[in-house]
Amino acid sequence: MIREEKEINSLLLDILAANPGKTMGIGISGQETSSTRFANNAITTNGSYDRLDVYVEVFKGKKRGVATGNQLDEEEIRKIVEKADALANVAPENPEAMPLLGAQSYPQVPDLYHRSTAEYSPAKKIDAIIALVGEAKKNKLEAAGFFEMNAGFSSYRNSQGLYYYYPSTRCYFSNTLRSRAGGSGWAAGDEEDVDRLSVDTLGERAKRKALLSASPRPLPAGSYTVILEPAAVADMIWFLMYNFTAREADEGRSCMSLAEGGNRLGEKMVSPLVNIFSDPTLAGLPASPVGEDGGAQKRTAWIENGVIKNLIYTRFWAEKKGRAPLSFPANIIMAGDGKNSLDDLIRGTKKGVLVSRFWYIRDLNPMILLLTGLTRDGTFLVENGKIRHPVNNFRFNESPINLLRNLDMMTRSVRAVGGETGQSALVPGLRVREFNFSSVSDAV
Amino acid sequence: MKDLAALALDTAKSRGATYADVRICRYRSQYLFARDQRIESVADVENIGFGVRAIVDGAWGFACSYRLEKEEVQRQAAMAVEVAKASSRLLKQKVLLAPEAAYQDHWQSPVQKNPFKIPMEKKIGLVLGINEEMLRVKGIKVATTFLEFDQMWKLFASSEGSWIEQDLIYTYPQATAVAVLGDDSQTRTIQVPPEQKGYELIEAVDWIARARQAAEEAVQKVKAKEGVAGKKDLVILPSHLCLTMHESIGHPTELDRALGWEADYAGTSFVTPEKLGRLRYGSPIMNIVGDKLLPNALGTLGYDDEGVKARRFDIIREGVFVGFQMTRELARFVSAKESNGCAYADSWSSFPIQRMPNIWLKPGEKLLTPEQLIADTKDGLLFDGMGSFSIDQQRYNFQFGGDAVWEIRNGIVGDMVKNVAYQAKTTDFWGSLDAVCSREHWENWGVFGCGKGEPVQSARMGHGSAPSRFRQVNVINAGGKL
Repeated sequence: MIREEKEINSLLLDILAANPGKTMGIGISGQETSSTRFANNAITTNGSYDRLDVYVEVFKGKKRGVATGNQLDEEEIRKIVEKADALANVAPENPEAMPLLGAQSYPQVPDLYHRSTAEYSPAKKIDAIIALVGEAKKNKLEAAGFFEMNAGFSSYRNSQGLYYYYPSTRCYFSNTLRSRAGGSGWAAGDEEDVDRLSVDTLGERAKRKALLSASPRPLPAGSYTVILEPAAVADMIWFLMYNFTAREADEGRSCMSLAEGGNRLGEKMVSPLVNIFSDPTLAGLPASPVGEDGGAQKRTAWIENGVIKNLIYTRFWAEKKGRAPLSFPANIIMAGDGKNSLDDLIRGTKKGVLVSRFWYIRDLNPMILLLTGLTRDGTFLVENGKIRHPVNNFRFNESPINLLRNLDMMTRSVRAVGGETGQSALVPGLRVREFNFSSVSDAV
Repeated sequence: MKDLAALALDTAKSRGATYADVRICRYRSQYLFARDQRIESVADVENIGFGVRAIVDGAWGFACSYRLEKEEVQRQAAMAVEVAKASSRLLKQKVLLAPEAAYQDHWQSPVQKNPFKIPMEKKIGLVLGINEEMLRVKGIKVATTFLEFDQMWKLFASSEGSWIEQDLIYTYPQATAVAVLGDDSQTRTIQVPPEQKGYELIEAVDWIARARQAAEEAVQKVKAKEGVAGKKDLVILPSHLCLTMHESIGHPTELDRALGWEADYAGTSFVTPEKLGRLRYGSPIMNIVGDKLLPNALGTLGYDDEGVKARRFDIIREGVFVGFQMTRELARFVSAKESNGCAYADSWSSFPIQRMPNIWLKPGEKLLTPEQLIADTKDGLLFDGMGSFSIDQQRYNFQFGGDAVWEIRNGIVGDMVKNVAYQAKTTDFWGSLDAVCSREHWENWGVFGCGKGEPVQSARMGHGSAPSRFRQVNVINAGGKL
């Protein structure tokens, strides 16, 4: 069982009491995890993990020192505080240091902690994997995957009155099924409550893809209309969000910069169909109520009808620019079109490529947010409204900004885990014109 | 600590483990990050804990904790046994460890100056000095400098009788100048590799001169013309080839990938076991070594994380693939009599998996200087430092950018170009290797954070080479406007 709020809060108060007059903050977090990994239709590794982190920051005016450790006894904590204190003494003043935040009012988010996940029996985990492997064998497929349960807490208290403690759970299941005929299918999902995670559904999806993608035929690289499944969209949207920092934009070094200085806030940058926001209170994708700077996370529109509505502002940059601070979002939601399914997107496509997921995405040119990466685990030619046959994988060199300019059709939004980022988002499948596949990959 | 390790092994054995090992580790790091004339962060971080691995009924179990107390050690050792029993319900074959002698030893990094004993004020002065020099160059908008020092103490004990202690130290500096001009921004990083060294690594570099050079080159880069797509001969410096070797040789020759054990995450490999001794990977001058002995390299140790003594082995000999990287468990799958020492865990709380050793390219046998190599190149590009990188899940198709790229015209290094990358198929690329400079020009580079496994683990390893040339590689332009 994870350490409860009463114990942790008391500990945090004791540490502050033992350091009267000090301007400081203490964070304590803990994780209890169990995970099982399998490959070639057998379990390879299986483990149980118990971790803890103690974080101390000490401020001397605009000087700051940080030290961490992972032991909770009084002596060890005293040493951590001493180290942070010593570093604060030698650190030069940071003119951009902001005063510690006081007490905050955090939004009420849906339950992030579920006993069903925290107490999930390891035997049930193995049962689920055995069933999945049985199905894979029946279909002459090799199954590999990972099933993890995590229960933890995050807490912080500072000398100015800021305090939070929140427990959370996350279960994650990923599986890749491969055939001797060159087929490969993948599906992954995560939930706070394991009762909402269906291993059967994820297994079935990976199996179907593995069977459908067998014996891929060659298709040359080039510019294609693509239908991106939600897992592929999740990765692209997260990569876009990594580049939403106002300061980098204002300094002229990001895709959100304007040549004449300043940033693209208020610019209609992408298709009016695009609405992207974050909201930690959203049922179905709840997130931490606490921002990176300790402030409250709140519902934020990032792109509204194609217009850039907000950028990420640190407290310092916000003060300098006369805006409210805004943390990196704890979740991401892209509004979809409830009328359409993926089949509708395929049905309306004369010629295109269906992409199940992306892999190994990296920046290629940050000024235009040109990304490179690869398709993986199921890439198909679509012709005259039907999936014709599987094709080879591709490398793409493309920008998510172009992608959001060239989309013309969306499905409803679903919770999907990005294959590259491992982060989930509530996003639709998209149909996008003129997507640039720069070369062919022989990989399966 | 030894008492706790013995207790873990005794508990696991008494509960039915046929093999058990325990690692008790303490990690300490110092981080400094300065942006412009400000120290944004100085931090001293430390953590300690233990992990127990047990084999029961031919299956692995693992359990770990940060609580170094007798009762907790017993609890986790028993948990490792229980986890192994649960795993044994779904096995393909029982775990069989290749034999390895038991060792009682202590090994430590060959460090001259412990960086943790250097006053923090001195380090702060250094990073601020670097940034100040960069910002003196007109056109530099931002300067950042980062220093990381790591100290690791590991105790490994096994039920086979090994008791191994290791003390390791690493130093990782990184300083980058950012130039902005009009609607473009470009960066240039001082090219100094991270190594298994102490503060002597820092003191061996004239940082102020290098800061000035990097800043001036960042400005040149932002003003540079766009690179032109097409086939080019590439002269690649060790600072760049490091990552290309890592991705296109290091990962594909990992035996766990080749066997499908990484299929769900990092992927598998085009280098399958039946290709051992048969696959022509590259040209006959390509000789790649797997090495845990190379002095000061990031992957060097006395013993790996399952107690296998460090060694050196060939991976590619005269262009032909001859050796996988492996652990004790993996050795049997290629009928190897022993492991070559490639088990690594990034923490006490991680299960040791197969990770890359140092993997390096042997220098050319005939005297060849970089100047001679460039003089012999008519229409090419010179790549320095790491840039964008991406490779597919079986390691066929890759694309790499550089930190700085210059044209080579008729044997002379000319203008810098920007927004270029090369794209190739692994064996085509290595097949086009036609020259490697000689021993005196060999440099020890490395990768400091390589992710693999589920749960993902980060590892570090060295990749040295001498400047090398690759013929007629496909270069792409990555420029454009929004």
